[in-house]
This record gives sequence, C-alpha cells and structure tokens, in this order.
Amino acid sequence: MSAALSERPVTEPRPEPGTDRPSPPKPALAPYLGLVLLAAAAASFFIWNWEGQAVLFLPLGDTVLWAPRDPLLGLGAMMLILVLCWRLRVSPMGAFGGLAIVVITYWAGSNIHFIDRIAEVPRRLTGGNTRDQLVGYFNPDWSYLLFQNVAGTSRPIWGEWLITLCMAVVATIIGCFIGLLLAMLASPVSSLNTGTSQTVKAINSVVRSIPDVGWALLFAAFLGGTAYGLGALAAVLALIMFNIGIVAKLLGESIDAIHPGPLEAADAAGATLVQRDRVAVLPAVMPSFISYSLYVFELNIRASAALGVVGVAGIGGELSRQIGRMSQGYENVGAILWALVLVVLMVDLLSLWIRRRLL
Amino acid sequence: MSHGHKVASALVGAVLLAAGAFLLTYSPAANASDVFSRMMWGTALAAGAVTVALAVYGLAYAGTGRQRAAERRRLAASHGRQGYAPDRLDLRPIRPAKFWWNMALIMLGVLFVSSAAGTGMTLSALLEMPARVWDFSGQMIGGVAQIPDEDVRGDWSSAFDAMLESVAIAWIGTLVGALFSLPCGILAARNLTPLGTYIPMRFILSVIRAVPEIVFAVAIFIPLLGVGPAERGGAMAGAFALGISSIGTLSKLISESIEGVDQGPLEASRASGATHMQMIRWAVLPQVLPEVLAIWLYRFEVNIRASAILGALGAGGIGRLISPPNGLFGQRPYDWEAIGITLFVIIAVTMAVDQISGFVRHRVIHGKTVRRRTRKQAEAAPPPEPPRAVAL
Amino acid sequence: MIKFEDVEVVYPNGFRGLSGINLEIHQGEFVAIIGLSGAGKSTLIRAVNGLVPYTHGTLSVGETVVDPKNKSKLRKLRSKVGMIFQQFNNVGRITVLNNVLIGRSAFTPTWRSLIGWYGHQDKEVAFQSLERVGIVEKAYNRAAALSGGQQQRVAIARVLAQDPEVILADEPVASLDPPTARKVLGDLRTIQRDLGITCVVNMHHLDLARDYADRIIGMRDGKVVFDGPTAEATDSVIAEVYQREVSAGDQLAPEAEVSSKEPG
Repeated sequence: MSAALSERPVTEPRPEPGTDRPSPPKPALAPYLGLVLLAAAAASFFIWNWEGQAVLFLPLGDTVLWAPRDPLLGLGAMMLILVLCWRLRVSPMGAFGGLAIVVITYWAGSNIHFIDRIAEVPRRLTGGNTRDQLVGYFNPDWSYLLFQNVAGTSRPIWGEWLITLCMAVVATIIGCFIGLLLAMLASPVSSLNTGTSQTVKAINSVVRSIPDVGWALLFAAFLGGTAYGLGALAAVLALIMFNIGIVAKLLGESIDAIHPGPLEAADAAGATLVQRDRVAVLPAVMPSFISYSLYVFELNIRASAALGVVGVAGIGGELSRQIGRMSQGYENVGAILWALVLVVLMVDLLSLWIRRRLL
Repeated sequence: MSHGHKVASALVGAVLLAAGAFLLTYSPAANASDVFSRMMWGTALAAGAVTVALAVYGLAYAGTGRQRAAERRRLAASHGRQGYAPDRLDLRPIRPAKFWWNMALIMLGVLFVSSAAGTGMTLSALLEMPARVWDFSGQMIGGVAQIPDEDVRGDWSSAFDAMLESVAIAWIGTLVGALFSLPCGILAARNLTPLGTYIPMRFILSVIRAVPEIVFAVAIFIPLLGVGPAERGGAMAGAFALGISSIGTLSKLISESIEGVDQGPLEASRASGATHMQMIRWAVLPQVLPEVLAIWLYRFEVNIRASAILGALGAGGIGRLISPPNGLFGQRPYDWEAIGITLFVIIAVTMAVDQISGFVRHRVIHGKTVRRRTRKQAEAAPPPEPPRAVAL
Repeated sequence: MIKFEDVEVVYPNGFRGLSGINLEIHQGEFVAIIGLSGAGKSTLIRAVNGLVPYTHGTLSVGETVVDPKNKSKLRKLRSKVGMIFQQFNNVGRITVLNNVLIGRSAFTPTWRSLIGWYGHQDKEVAFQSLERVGIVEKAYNRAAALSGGQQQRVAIARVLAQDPEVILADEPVASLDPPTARKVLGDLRTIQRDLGITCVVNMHHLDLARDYADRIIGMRDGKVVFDGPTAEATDSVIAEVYQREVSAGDQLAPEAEVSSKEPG
C-alpha cells in the first residue's frame, strides 16, 4: 500500500485547504467481489461441516432468527478482514492471503475446540482441582528432588538429572559430527555431485520430519524394550537423529553461503574434493558449527527431559511417573519442573559463555 | 618431536575409547544404579589419559627448547645493536603451542567418555538391533504399500486426523505467538523503545525463552484447559503452551530485525513530526513486515514438530496417537503396519507443510520473481551468531 | 609452453567467452593481458587450468593437453599451474602456513590433509616459499589478520609451494593500493625471473603492464586483437584495443601519468 501512496503525482499543485485531496487509487472491485463470494462459499462449507451445538439467537421483533455460532463468527471475521483490506487498499492478492489466514484459523480453531475450551476456563478455575494443581506447582517439594530415590530402586533423583545431562552430551557430540558429514554431502558446494546432494537433502528432510518422540519410540521398539540400559540407549539414539536433522540443515545452509574464492583457490592448486572440503570449507564454517553445536546441546537438554515421557531414562521418565501419580500431590512435579527451568537456564548461560570465549 | 603429541593424543584417545566401550558394554545394567560412580570411573580413566597427554605435551615443549633459546638470543642481540639483519632461517617463527585449545579437545573427549559411561547405555543391544530394524521396517513398508481394507483405512484416517490436529495446534500456537510477538518485539527493539521499557522487556523475554514448552504445558495449560483428546482440551493446552513459548523466540528475532532496519525513513518521519506510533506504522513496519512474516512461518514449521512431544504429555495431536500407554507404541505386540502408516502420514504432512510454507516465505521475501540460483558473494563472512533459525 | 589452437569457450548460457584464439606463450615469459572488462581476459586465463572448460580447439600446457572432462588429469595439470586471484582467496580463519600448505595439496596424500598432518618436506617447501615472498615471520598468524598486500603475498607463496611451471594471475593487484601493487608485482616479476616460471597476468592498468611485462596481449570481445612485445604497445595500439583513447583512468600510479596524453 505504500507503493500505492507513492504513486500520487508529486508535481500536482498543492490543493487549497478545504478542497479534497486526490485520494489514492482504490484496488479493482471485481477481484474483491470474487473474494466475497469465496468467503460466502467457505462459510457455507463451515455450516455444512458444523458439528457443535452452540447457536446464536437474534431476536427480531416477533420472530427469532437463529444461526450456528461458530460458522457465523467465521463469516464475520472473513467479512471484517475483507472490509479492512478494502479500506487499507491492500491488493487483491494480499486480501486473499488475509482471507486464507482466517479460513485456516477457523479450521484449526474448530479442530481443537477453541471457543468451547476458552469459555470453560472460568468454571475450571473456580471448581475442580485446577487451583490445587497450580498451588502445588508453585510450592515445589525440594527435599523430594534432593534426597529421595526413584520409586522401587536405589537410584537417587538427582542421579536422573545427571543421566539426562550425560545423554545430552553424548548425543550432541555424536550427532553434530554425523550432521557435519551430512551437511558436507548435502550442500552442492562441497558435495560429490548434484545427485548425492539432492539424495542427502531428501533423506535429511525425512529424518527431520519425524519428531524426536517418534524417534525415541521407534528406537525403544527396535531395541526391544525400555529397560534401564535400553531406555538410555534409545534416548541417545533418538537425540542423535534429532541433532543430525538440525545440524545438517542449518550447517548445509551455511556451507551454501560461504565465499567461493578459497574453494576456487584450492581447486586451482589441484586439491581433491576431500582435501578441498577439509582445507577450505571446514575452516570457513567452523564458527557456525560450534555455534550450532552449542545450540543443539541446549535443545537436547530440553528434549531429553521430555523424551523420558515415553518411558526412556533420565529425568523425563521420573517426570512422567510423577505425572501419572498426580493424585498424591503436585509438589513433586512442581519441583521437577522448576529444576528443569533452572538447569536449562544454567546451560544457556554456560553456552553463552563458551560462545563468547570461542567466537 | 613436532608431531609426537599428536600421535600420543590419538593413541590415548583410542585407548580411552576402547576402555570406555568395555566399561559400557560389560557394566551389569541391572544394578548399575550409581551414575556417579560410573561417571567417576570414566573420569578417572580420562584423568589418567590427560596425565599422559600432558607429559607428552611437556616433552614436545622441551623438544623446541633449543629453537626457543636461539630465538631469545636473537631478540636479545637485536636489542643491543641497530640494524641487525638475521639470516632467513632465523625469521621462521616458533610454532605457537595451542595449549588451551588442545586441553579443551582433550576435556571434550573426557566429557564424552565419562558421560557415555554415565548414561548406563547397554551398547551390546545395538548388535541385535539391525535384525529387528530389517524385520519391522519390512512390516511397516508392507503396511503402507498394501491395498487398504476396512481396518487399514481406519488406521489411515486416524493418523491423518491426528496429524491435522497437530497442524491445527501448531497454527493456533503460532497465531497466539505472532499476535503477542509483534508488540513485544517492538518494545524489545533498542532503536524504538526507551531503556526503561527495553530492559524489563528483554528480561521477560529471556525468562520465557528459558522455560521449556513442556513446563508451560504441564504446569499451566493442562490444568487450565484440560488434558486428553481435543474435545477435552488437550489440544488447546498444547496450542497455548506452544504459543507462549513462541513469544520468546519470535519477539527476539523480530526485535533483531527491527534493530537492523534502515535508519533513514525513521529519521525522515521523525523530522516531519510524526508521532511515535505513526513512525512505527509508516517507517518501521513496511520495512520489517516481510521478514516478520517469514519468521512467523518458520516458527509454524517448528511448532508442528514440537507439538508431537506435547502430545506425548497429554496435549493432543500426533503425539497422543503414537505414545504409550494408549497410543500405537503402547500396544503389545506392536502393530507395525499401523505404525508404518502413521509415520508415513507424519512425514508426508510435515514435508508438505514445509514446502508450502517455504514457498510462501520465498514469495513474501523475494516477491514474485522466479527462483534463481544465485550464489551469495559475501565479501567477508558475517560474524557467527547463535542460529537465528530456531529449528527443532 | 602454453599453446592455444583455435580455442573457443561457450558458456552454458550460450555466451561466447572466447572465439578462435591462437596463441603460443613460451617458457619463462611474463605476459600481460589487457582489455576492457568483459573482453574475455579472465576466461582466457581460467581456460588454461580448466576452471572454465573450453568447448572447441586444443589447449595444451607443456606436453599435456588440457582435458576439462578428465578430473584426475586436470588435477595433475593444476598441480603444475598455479593461480593467483584478485581477492587473494585465502582461507581467513586458518594460519598463513596452512594456507600455503593448500598449495601442497596435490602432492599430499588425502588422509594427511584430512588430519592436518603435513610431512616435514611439505612444511619445508611452504616455509621456503614464505621466505621468498618475505613474510615468513607471519607464518602462524591468521591469514585474515594480514593486510591486503601481505595477503596477496601469502597467495603467491601458496602458488610457489606448488613448485609451478606456470603462474596464472587474474587481476592480482586490482584490489591493492598503488605502492603495494607495484611492490607485489615487482616481487612476482623477480620470483618469476629467478625460477624461470612462465607467467600470464591479467592487468587492468596499462602502466603496470608496460613496466613489468615482456609481452602484451590485447583482447576485445573474446578475440586477440594485439599481440606483441611491450615496446610495440604504443598508446595508439592500445587505443585500438580499447576502441577509445587511453585515459588517466587506465593508469595506476601517479608517477606513470607522464605517459597519458589526454585526461578524462
């Protein structure tokens, strides 16, 4: 719209005060009418797919009109966005984008029962155990965290934290190195040929699209269980896959962007591909590599705490056990969560310090 | 002697690895409860290695003693007389000892071995894995490839529904994050905000960033909005947890991009007497809006992946479908065909969303131009910074 | 030494970089190539070591025919043909010595480069070439920390470490300030004379070409339009090459202003 504003002829004499300034050109009407039709079609589709019970009543004199609430709200939002775009002189393409956002939001909101759940929040706050839960979380039981053992074993709870950190360290180191190799293969700058680079990129996007929980569950199944040693191994393997995906993608992009001059120089000196990658590519991306590794380490701490939920080792396992026994009180879960925040904060600070020192 | 310490380090590393592997594989997994003692084992082993490496390092240092003495003499001599012209050999510098760098590498190795010991992994289980992987992936591929009957069609549709629910969660989460992140980002940008607002805002944002989203989900939104399937509120809890934790990263990225805008239009609008709001609206937003949109879309991709782990905790979506006790991986025996179908749907939907959002991002940033392969001619590599792309 | 027989270069996008080049450059010559930008100077130089594959004709260096398709033969050729770039193309984050050792790549087994463990002989060669360009005392500094002139010296040392028969230089002094440019080019000239290396240099500045080269080749639109000893390259001949009068902008240093007739 700033483009539209700047199209105003500057040479035109200044209008007398009081007279109308030439207004910026309005966007074409026809596409907007089309968009209105599109909105109407979407609204009727919403009504057709409507499953809720909530209805709005419009008392109109002696008759009462009623309409399904959610689709009507959706229609209202769509019309609002169109009018807004019209007033702001957004191009039809932009208005279409806005409309698309509203439609997707309507779909997503109805999919997760947005309005119903929001409407229910006050009721939950006053009744039920929500209040107890929130109070419990803010009164964590630190002695549980420091002195107790995991139920049924002789392993202390703080030991589980250590295991979590250990898993993160091992997975970061292995995953980052494999990720480095894959990034080298994935970037057309440093790869053998285009075919290899495309294949590796495709494999990498498959690896990346499976979430870390999925990997953990898969490896737990592949290893044949989540017994003590197996669970840790499954978690480490899952984190490794998770790290490979991130490092290979981010680092591959940094390799794409490196200055091609040194590569050419290495080529001109008769270096083989491996030599070229080692002497010219690796030093150029080393700072990004270290930075990404530290970043991945932070992510691993968060993720390895969560992975325990699926039954593997570390503090996550204890967290999910405690969540499962929440009827006995919320202080234990609260302690774990607070400690998680503390640990993540400390790891953040540590990696900030290393980053400052190294880079 | 110049390479002696490298050889020694390599040897020590090999010994370390071998010992570590031995320790890991043959530690009786059942009663290896004391992480601490296992880590101590690893550390003690590593400390021995460090001692050896240090000794070798000292020897290497001693080996260059004669050269260093010569250098000292040369320097002393050149102090005495003016115009001392050394012959060519004398100008060769002494190889600087990268002591702390080497130590850091050794420490990294130590850390690796001791934490590998600390996790208590049963590495021998890896030996049995390939056979299972082969067997199970065969079943999974079979599940995907077979012609669907009534049962299998149910698997497909439940996987698809759950994945779409994940996308919906991620969308609402991103929307919540986006709505809050623009004002927060403006308030956290140094060039638009007085110090009195800037510092508290930055502090709040870094606190939000430090809290993992599972904490938001478990501690706040699951009690508040419910747990379980979408109609009981699990999905909403996930969406809001993602939304709140998106605010932190999104606002930081947005504030960075605002701080990087061209200062000219700002000064121009300030000079022409615009109010603060007018300046933001007409001088700042047009400049940063494409980048902000790209950041939001990127976060959407990240949120899709992140919603899975929240689902495992009781928030809805694909995580709930796959994770035990009620999900696909909670059943015994595993229903590998259904798992294969679900994984296929996850991969397909995630990649499709990535493609679409990548297309829109490209379109928003570069306009309607045809995608061209241009190599960035970076004059000097930009200084490395923590990754802006908050991938997950 | 370097022989072009009817060489043509057509880029993949259809642009004709070189057409019908016939040249012979002899052992130990210092040849300057001049011409406006876009005349094909860079293409000519890069065709010699295969960085730009030629599409027609025969190009040979010594006894070897340049074959852009055969990677391993090309590598063997490149080990004898060193190249210097305008932007130095050093790897900024590693030491000067390691930059020079990149020049030894072709003579080093891959596993040695991989772990960064070069043999004593390679290091000796690297040190000697650093001594020859006179910055051996910077051997363990980061390359990025050096000034422009020093960086170009590192690049020359990297090429010398290859023990080359031919040095190609693509605008080697275009990004240096005038005094440094003269010094670096003078050093290159001395080294070339001492070691009997054939040298082909792209030049932007006429006065430098006249001061340092044995022979000048003028190019226009991918064709050689002048080829002769430096003495024959008078201003009128150069004007013919440039298709315009020689101006002060074609000169580098103030001291060479005497040879320019018309300002602007």
